[in-house]
Amino acid sequence: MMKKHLFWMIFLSACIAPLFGAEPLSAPSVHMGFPWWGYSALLLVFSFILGIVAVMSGVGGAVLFVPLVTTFFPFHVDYVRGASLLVALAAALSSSPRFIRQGFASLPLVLPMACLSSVFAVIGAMTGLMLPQDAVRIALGIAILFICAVMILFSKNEAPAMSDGDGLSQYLRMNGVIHDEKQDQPINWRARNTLLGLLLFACVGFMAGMFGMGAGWANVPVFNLVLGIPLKVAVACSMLLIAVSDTAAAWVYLNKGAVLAPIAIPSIIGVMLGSKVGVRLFAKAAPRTIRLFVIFLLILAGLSSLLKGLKIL
Amino acid sequence: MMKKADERFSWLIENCVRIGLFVLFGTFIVYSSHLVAPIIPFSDLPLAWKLSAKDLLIREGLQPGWGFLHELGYSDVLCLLGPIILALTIIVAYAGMIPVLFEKGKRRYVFIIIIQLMILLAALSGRIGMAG
Repeated sequence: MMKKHLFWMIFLSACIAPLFGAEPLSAPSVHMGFPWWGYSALLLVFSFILGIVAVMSGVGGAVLFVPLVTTFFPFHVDYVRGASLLVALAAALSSSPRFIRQGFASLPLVLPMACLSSVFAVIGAMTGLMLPQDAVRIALGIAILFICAVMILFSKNEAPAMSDGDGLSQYLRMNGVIHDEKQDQPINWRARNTLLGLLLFACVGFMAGMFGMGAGWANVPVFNLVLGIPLKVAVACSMLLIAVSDTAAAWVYLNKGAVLAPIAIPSIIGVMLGSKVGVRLFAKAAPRTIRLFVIFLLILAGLSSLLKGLKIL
Repeated sequence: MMKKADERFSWLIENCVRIGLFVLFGTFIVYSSHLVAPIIPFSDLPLAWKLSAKDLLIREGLQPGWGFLHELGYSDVLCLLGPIILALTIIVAYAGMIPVLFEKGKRRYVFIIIIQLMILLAALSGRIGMAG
């Protein structure tokens, strides 16, 4: 009960705090009839809804955040990517401890993957911040449409067949056992195709750093389909991997001044609170319908980003 | 096998995130209620957030990297403390795991963690890509 009150207190005070210090609507502080705090408050509400939708559709909040915020808000893409990385980082850090304690997130599996992924996340972040805004918009549009294709085509494999693994996975003991609640029996797993996995995570890390996205959309299929990891373990390991690789990229954005308080902070608070509501609503929702709606939104946002970059829109 | 290390890692993440989110929320209340002046005036925000990060730093005469530590008296710079604590979380959690893994003789994982820490510390230092 106390927790519930605290939740709404945080949300409401974050919404109304700017009003106490609000300036009169002088011309320079107003953009298209909106004062600065209006955008922050709108971003908070937008991120809150995004957090709900992200959890209910099974898509990370950050993958929706960048294309939608760059489409609907007047911010430079640098700050949107900086805020998005922090949103993904905060969400991944919040869920990782529980996944580790439940035995789903495996550190021996994530440690080497995260190491390479974070190097490429830093390179991606540096590349993204060096490119002109239009070039980033075009690349982002293409990336978003590619993500939609992955989301449509990727068919999950709850429990891939147990393999013998390879030399590297055996050396690093990338194996484990989880309990399948549906069949009430243990599922043994061992990673395979480790080198290919490392290579793919390097590419995913680059994209995550460049576009400020969490990259769960790519991590889960790579863990599940390429490394042969059961789906639940893949999801949990993906969150831990995001926590590490986004940390590396977040430092680049922080050091380059690409984190603006009125954009980043309401986004983090909104998505974090929204995802808590999303978890509660999850049982009552129709995830397939929401997922299709999200894919539709992403296609629109991807096309919009592409056309804006090409100066057609 | 990794139980103790897992537990230490999870405990450190949980507590750092708690502190980070508390600071993030508190500093934003200070910022948005105008209790402390920001370095970028509120009246300039609609223009400032349209500039690239590089152009904004030049316009405001700010230094990239850790130069912001000298400007912590401004509310918008103070707001960066929350994200910084979040971005330090994995570094603290990895470093906290090393003694446990070393004690258990898991040297191969210690080696990977040390490489990972070097990568993260290089990113944190702000020296990477400063020419860009």
